[in-house]
Amino acid sequence: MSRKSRFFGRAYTALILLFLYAPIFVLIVFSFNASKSRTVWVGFTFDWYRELFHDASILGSFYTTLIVSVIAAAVATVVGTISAVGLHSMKRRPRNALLFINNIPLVNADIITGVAMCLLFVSLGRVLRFELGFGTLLIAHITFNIPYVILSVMPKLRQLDVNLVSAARDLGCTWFGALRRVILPEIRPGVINGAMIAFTMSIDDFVISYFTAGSSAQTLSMTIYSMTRKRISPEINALSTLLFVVVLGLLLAVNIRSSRQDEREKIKHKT
Amino acid sequence: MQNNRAASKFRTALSKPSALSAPYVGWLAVFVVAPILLVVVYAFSKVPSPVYYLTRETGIVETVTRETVNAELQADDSLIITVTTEDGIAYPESPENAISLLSQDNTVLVVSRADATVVMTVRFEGGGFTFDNFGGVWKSAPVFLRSFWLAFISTVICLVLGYPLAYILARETRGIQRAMNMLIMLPMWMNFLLRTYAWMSILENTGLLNRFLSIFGIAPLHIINTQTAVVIGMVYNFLPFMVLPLYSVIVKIDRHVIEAAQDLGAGAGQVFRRVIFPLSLPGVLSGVTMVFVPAVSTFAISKLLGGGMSNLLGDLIERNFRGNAYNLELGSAIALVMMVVVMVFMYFVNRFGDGTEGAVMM
Repeated sequence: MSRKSRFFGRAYTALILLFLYAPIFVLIVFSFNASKSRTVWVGFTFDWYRELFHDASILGSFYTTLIVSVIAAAVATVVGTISAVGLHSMKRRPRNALLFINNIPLVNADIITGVAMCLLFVSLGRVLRFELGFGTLLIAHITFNIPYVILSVMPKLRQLDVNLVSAARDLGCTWFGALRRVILPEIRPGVINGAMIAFTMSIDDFVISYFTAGSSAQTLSMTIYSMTRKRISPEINALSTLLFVVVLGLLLAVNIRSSRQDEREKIKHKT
Repeated sequence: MQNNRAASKFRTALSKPSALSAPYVGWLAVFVVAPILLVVVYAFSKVPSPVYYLTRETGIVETVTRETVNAELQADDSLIITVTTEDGIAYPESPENAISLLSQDNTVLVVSRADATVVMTVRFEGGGFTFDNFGGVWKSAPVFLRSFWLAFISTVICLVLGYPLAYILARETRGIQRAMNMLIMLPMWMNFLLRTYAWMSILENTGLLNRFLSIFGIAPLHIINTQTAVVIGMVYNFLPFMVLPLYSVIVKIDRHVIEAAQDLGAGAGQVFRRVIFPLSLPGVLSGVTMVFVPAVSTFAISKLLGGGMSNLLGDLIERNFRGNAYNLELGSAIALVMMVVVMVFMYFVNRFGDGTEGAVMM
C-alpha cells in the first residue's frame, strides 16, 4: 500500500473514531460541570458524583441489573451448555428444527421478543395471579441469553473428537463422568465465551426489560430511560463516566492478557 | 453427512444424551414459541369493550347500555351503593365515584334504593376473531413507510461509512487491528441510551455543534427533533454492528486471490468489484441485518432525538403496550405485520446474497 493511501486510511479511521467518541467525550466533560446545563461550561465540580451515590433509585436499579445479569448468565450458561450437548447428539432434522426455534430471539427485533413475552406474562399472570416484576424480568433475560450460549458452545462440540468420549466410556466412565471430565474441559472456551456474551447482553438490554419488568423492578437502563424523559440530571453523565472507566479498564485488561498470550504462543512456535 | 455420523457416534458414546436438551425444549415451547403465537392470537382478537349487566330483583339479567347504567345511578338521593371491585372487597361509594369505577373490569355495583335493589356488573369482553386490528395497522401505514425508509437510509449510510473502515482495518498491522477492534467495541459496551442522550446536547439548537459552528460565523443548524437527528442516532448506535462483521470477513480474504487477479490484469476497481466485494458479501449481509432490524424497530432513539416529530413503528408498539394508547390487540397486529415484513425483507436479502455467492463460486 502506498504511503498516501495509508495516510488517507488513517485520517478516515480517525474521523470515524471522532464520530464514535464525541458523545462519550461530551458526557465525561459535562459530568464535572458545576451547573445543570448540558451545553454551557461553568466550572469544575465533583457534586454529581456525590449525588449519584446518594440516589436510591439509580443505585437500586444498578443492583437489580447486576443481580439479574449474574443470575441470568449463570442459569443460561448451565442450561445452554447441557442443552447444546443434547442438541449436538440429535439427528439432523430435529436438531435443525430446534436450532431454528433457538434462533428466533436472536433474529427477531428486540421489541417483538419483549412484547411477545409481555403478552405471555400478562396472560399467565391473569390465570396464576402474579404481576410483572423481578421474576418475569429474570425469565426473559434467561430466555434471550440461552441462545447465545448454545451458539457459542455448538462449534466447540463439533470440533470435539468423539473418540475421546468413546474411549472414556470404554474405560468405565459413566456418561455423566464423560460429560464432566472429557466433554466439558474440551468445550470450555466456548462455555466461557457464551457466559460472557450472555452477561453483556443482559447488562446492556433495555427493550426486553422494559416490556417484561413491570413497574416493581427497574433495571439501570429503565431508570436512565425514565430520567432522560423527565428530569435530566448530570448524575447521568457521572454514571456514564464511571461505567466508561470500568469498561475501558476491563477491556484493556482482557486485551493485554490476550496479546501477551499471543506473544507467548509466537515464542512457543519459534522454539 | 459427516456431521450426522459423528452425532450418532456421540449418541452411542453417551447413553441417551439427547434427553439433556429436553428441559430446554420445554422452555423454548413456553417462552419462545408460545409468546409469538400469542402475538398472532392477540392480533386477530377483538379489543375488549365493557359490557354492562343489570340484574333486577326478579332475577332477570339484561345487557344494558352505559346510559341506562348512568341513569340508574343518578335516580335519587336515597340510593346506597356498594361496590365490589376485582380484588373482592366491598365498600360503600358515592354515585360519582361509582360511575368512574364502571370503567374497570369485574366491578360489581349493588344499588339499593327505597323501593328496589339492582346489581350491576361490568365485564370487559373481547376475544372474538376479527380482522379489525389490521384496519388500525393500515391507518398507520405512513409510520411503517417512515420507519422502513429511515432504517433503510441508516443501513446504507452505515454500509458506506463502515465498509471503507473495515477494509482499511483489515490492511493494518496486527497491533493496530487489535486496538481498533477494542476502540470500536468500547462504545457498544456503554448504555446506548446514555450515548444517544449525549447526542441531544450536541445537536440541540443551542447545543455544542451550533456553538462550534457559530465560532466560524455559520448560521445554526436545526437538527434536533428532525428525522436527520434520528438517522444520526441510528447510524451512531449501529455502525459498529456493520463494521465488525465486515471486518471479520474481509480480514480472512486470501491475499493470493487478490494478487492473482492483479497478475491477470485487473485494475484496482475491477479487483474490488469482482473479487473483494463478492467475497465480503456474507459480511455485508450480516452487517445489513444487524443494522436494519434494530433500526426499524427502535423507539428510544426516535423519542430522544426525534422529539414528538418522528413517530416510528417502535414508538407505536411501545405506546400500545406500555403507554397511554394501551391496546394490546392493535399493538400485536402492528408487531406481527412488522415481523412479517422484516422476515420477507431478510429472506430476499439473503437470497440475493446466495445467488451472487454461487456465481462467485462458479
